[in-house]
Amino acid sequence: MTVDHVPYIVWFEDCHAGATDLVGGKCASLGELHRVPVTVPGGFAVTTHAHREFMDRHDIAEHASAVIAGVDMHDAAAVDEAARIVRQVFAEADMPSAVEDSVLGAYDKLCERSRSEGLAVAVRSSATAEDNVSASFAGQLETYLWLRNPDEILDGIVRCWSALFEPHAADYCRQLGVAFDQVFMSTAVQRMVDARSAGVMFTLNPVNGDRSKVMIESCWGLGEGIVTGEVDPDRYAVDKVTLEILDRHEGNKTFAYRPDRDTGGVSVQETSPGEATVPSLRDDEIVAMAEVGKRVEAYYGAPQDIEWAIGGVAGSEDASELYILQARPETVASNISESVTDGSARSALDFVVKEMVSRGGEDAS
Amino acid sequence: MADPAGFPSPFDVTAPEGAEGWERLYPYYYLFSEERRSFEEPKFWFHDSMHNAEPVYPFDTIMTESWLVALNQYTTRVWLVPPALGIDQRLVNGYLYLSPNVVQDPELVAERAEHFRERAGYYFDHWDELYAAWIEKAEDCIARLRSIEFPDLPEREPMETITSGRGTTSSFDLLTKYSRLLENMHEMAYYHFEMLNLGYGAYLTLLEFCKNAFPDIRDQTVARMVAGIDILFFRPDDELRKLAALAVETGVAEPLKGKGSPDERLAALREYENGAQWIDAFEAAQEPWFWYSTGPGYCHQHRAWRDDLRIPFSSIEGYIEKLEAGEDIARPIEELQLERERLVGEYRKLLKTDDDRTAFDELVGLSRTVFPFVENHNFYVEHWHHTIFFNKVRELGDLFVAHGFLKDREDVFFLHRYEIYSALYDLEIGWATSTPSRGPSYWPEEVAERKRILGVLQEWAAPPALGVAPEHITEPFTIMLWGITSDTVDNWLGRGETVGENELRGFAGSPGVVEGVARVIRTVEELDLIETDDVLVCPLTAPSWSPIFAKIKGAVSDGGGIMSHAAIVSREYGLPAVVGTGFATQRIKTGERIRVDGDTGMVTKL
Repeated sequence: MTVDHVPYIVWFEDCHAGATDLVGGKCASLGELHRVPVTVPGGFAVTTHAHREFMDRHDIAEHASAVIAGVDMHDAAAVDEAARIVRQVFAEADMPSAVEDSVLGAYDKLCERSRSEGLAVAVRSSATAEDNVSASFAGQLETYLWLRNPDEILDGIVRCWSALFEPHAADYCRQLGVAFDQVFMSTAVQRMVDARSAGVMFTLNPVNGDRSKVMIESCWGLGEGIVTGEVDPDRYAVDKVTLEILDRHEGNKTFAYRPDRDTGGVSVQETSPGEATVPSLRDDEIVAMAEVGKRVEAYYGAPQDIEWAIGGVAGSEDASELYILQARPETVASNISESVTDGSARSALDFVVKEMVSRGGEDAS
Repeated sequence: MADPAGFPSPFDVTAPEGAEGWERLYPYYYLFSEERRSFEEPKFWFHDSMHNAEPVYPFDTIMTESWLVALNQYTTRVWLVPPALGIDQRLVNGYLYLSPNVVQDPELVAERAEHFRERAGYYFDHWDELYAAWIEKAEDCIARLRSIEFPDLPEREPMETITSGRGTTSSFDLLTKYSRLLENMHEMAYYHFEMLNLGYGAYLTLLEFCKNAFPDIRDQTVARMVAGIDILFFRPDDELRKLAALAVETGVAEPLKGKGSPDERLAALREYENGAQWIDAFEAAQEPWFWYSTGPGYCHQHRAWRDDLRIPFSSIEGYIEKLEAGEDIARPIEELQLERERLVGEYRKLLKTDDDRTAFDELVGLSRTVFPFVENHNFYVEHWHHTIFFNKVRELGDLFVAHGFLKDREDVFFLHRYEIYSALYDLEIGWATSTPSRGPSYWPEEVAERKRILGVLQEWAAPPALGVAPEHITEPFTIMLWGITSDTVDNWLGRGETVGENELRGFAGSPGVVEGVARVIRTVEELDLIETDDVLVCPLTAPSWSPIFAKIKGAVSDGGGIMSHAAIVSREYGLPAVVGTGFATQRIKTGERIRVDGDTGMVTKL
């Protein structure tokens, strides 16, 4: 395949795990999720090829490297200033017209598919680094929500690219021994779900590694408040085998991230007093979600960390469809592999004797 | 001295007004006493609301005492369960309180463990053949029980006494038959516990393993992994389903519905062309399946379906209505079987190491070996044997009525078993010497007084526990059989989580949440009061109250543990249930709206 045939955009449904170099981990995963299958909000990857094309046209890398070269990472003000200059350098660079045409053409098609003009989308980084790196890299990656016109979208994409050259990311790359100017980033452009509720789901208990549980956290509106840890979410533990809700905690959800109808974008809005302590999920939704989590886990063959949203999309009557926004392997608790047995007992009788002996105690007084 | 943060001392509990002197209804060793105070007072005593929610009738102490001896000696002297000695019993205002004794010395625990391994190991290794032999013993015991009869003493000994040269008389037979009756009860008590402790021990080990491997897994989920599907437990109810289906098929459903008594319904049925066919099937189903107690089977008031057809009739009617509404009432045996295998298969895959999978396989295997006995013994013992046993005692009551000792056959239960020996001797003296027995001038009055006292005691609200609360409950049978855990005690004491004034904390017995009107039912006689969509609030949810489970929306009980019949049947009927609340029948009144959360174990007054 010659460079001329490498696409600038790839629709999610065509993304797959083998194409991570081109579409990044997040988009590859969104493509795989179509095959689980689960419902994923539509969209496309702006490929690493598009990023490379952009960088090749300009001497941005050189320019940005010079800006951050001497920055003292302990000097917050200097770091911020350098980041601002880097962003400005990127923002002032022209987008290659072939890339721009591809992206905007795809966006138009997405609007068409959704039968909705000015469709709100999210733009997110989709890194190409390996799983464990990208998982840890998560904090360095960018997300822009509720973008509704071509300029905002293009701007969002460029900002995802520029983020790699900001001092923190560059420093992080140095620590990982990765040349930051050799990292190319794909970007996901994805239809936003007008989320009634959203949150995260782990297909194991991330605290103790218990794989028989699905743990769900949920809040009103978009899930950002949970990802950042600002919202006290509703928490549910579901038995993965019986799908019973074993434990529930209703959080005090005093605010929610919601699209701002006046200014565009997303803003933090107070919830009504009634909303704050009312569960943001119905029991049937919790169970259905756990089932989806089970399917995703089975597809990948490993515990997953899943972002989801429940809500409507333009042109749909149903305001409570479950969308999977992202799934990635859970890499910490899934490595806990302690036995619950200590090897001293082998036969059932050994276990029974041990259990009985362990029950010596003080009941009598 | 009462524990400042605990329960009342048993020595501070006084008789309710009008029930003074209740102690004489019971054997002396059943009472708290000053001589044993230093041993008794520092102990923890919990009310056996599970088997004996009401004050124990004097005669019914034979039941509690049978297990006081049989269960405990298996624990203490036969299997040498390492940390457990027996579970002590005392009566307080007629209510049965229990206190587990444990082995404190670790060296002794270790020594007992070696014996336990050898002894339990033998039974586990030979379980199937021992269980087959057990069924034969149990059925033989029941057959011998049925053969015991108490004919009246003849005016003259028959000629046969002379011609056979037997040398003893009808009077001797009467005394020995009464002895046979008591011995028969004790014999069954031994069989009851011969294999039960081991069965529960095996299951408890699996349960603990699963709780370690899958923290917060529901007890009921573990039970479902090993529970039998086609077991005697469900058989009586299955018979009713079959009878309902037959009634619908043969067009005799109509007379089985409505307000009429069982006898009236049967009479109406006879007018139908196919009525006789249904009645034949009905009678065939009764032996032995209608020897099914309407309660836990420990009290004489819990009659068999055979003796009180209201419950099976009500159940049949419920099933007929479902069939007529187009519902399939057959239990989905195959589906349940597949579900059981799915549970085991999926949890097994979720274990993290090969060692854990080996342990899981071993423990599931052993639990499944022992479970048929664990699940089926109830039918043989508590239902079939005990209901017939109490009927035999009633036959003895008839003899006393005939001789003026008692006014009614049921009055016999106001005498404890040693007093019946005395009364029989009194009767025989009168018969032998031809002088008036003292009984007719002594017992009717005494029984009337005892009825009055028990009536007062029935109104007494028994505290869920007495004495000093332990920090932890570890004794395995207290946990398995009565569902008393450290959490239960904390809950009773209001320790741990704070519970609102309108809330009662219990254990999640059967999942789901329901709101409805409470109906407090303390005794089986009150079951008629239940109306459709009531939420049942009772000391214990007994499975053989099955028709009401078809009517009610949910259930709450004072007592009950994970192996209680209550939890199993509520799940079978898909009803939310909260068990082990301690005080539901005291705190909730009929007519109040309550919410039963069978997922979290919380009951809320609305």
